[in-house]
Amino acid sequence: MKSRKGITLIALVITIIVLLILTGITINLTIGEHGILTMAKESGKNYQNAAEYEQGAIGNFFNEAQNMIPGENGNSNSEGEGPEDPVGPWRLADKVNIGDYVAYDPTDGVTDPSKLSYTSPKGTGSSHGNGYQEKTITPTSYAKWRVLSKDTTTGEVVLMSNGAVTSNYFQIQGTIGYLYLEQELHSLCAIYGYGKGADTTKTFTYQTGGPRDILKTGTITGSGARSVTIEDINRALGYTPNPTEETWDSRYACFPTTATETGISEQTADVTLTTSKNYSYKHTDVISSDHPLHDLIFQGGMYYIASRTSYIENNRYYLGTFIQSSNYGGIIARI
Amino acid sequence: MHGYNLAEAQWATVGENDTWMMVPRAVVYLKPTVKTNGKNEEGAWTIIDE
Repeated sequence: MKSRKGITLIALVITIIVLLILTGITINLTIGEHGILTMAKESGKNYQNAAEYEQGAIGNFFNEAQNMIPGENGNSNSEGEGPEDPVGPWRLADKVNIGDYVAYDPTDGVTDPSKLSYTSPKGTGSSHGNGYQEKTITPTSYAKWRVLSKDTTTGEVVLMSNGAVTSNYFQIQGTIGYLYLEQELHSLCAIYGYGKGADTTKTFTYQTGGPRDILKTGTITGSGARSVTIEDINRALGYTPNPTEETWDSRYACFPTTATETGISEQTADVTLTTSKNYSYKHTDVISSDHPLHDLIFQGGMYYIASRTSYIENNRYYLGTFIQSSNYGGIIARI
Repeated sequence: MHGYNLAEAQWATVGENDTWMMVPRAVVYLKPTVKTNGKNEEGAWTIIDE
């Protein structure tokens, strides 16, 4: 009898079924709902959405600011004037809307390289600085400029950077950084105020010191740029803050002093901040965690970090306020 | 947006050397006499400063 070698029908059917199952699994792993290709596509979309959201938030601010300004709804010409010159050039204030991009170049026409650089020192108790380390800032090439406000009566147009004007975070630290923050921010932003078209006749002021210090006022002249302030934003949005309605925890930094509570004045010597010194802070026991967190704000000539959400753990605050275990440095919580 | 400073302060976990990471934004005042001849190819208004 001849021997017959071959695969049985049943084995063949089983093999086909197994292959179909494996094929189905492979297809699902690649293009299914949780497949590799599907997830990869989604990740790319999420990143794109995040980037667009951030740009959208900035755009929303400018839109909101535009709507807050009565009469400023994008008309090119003031009322009563004749037909628009089709050729131009035109006065910039007559053409732009809030939020429009303007091709301002902070380096254009600048012949003195020193104007395009600011070195923020580390500083001491008696000399300004960021409290962290010496850092030199130069204009970034990717800063874009948008119209923050305009005055069609005077013709003045004010721009705001669409993003950070430093290539990396500007780091400040401790009491020194807190006390001199205003000066450092305005000074580093001033390097953007010398480009073609900038109004270098401006004078900007800043203050140094804490709420219980003898405040010192400084000026920046010869530049058309400064740091953005909360007044800029509030003005653009038509918001008038009312701090009397709020009560806050209050902790604040001040210049170190050998005195205890009254007659605070700036020390003339370099200061080593130690736990043995009394830096004149006021402590309240009111800690509440049911209020929204606020960011750093600038009002009344001083930068504050307003925080209604804070808690103490191991004698330290988190989320927006800080108080060290040695009880120096701190934040005024205030709108 | 009310009450927020677009300088976007962020801070690291509180520690002995409390550090704040600032993201500064600048404001530039242009001269009232600045003109423009329209938008460039990127959609930004040009600046003419005579």
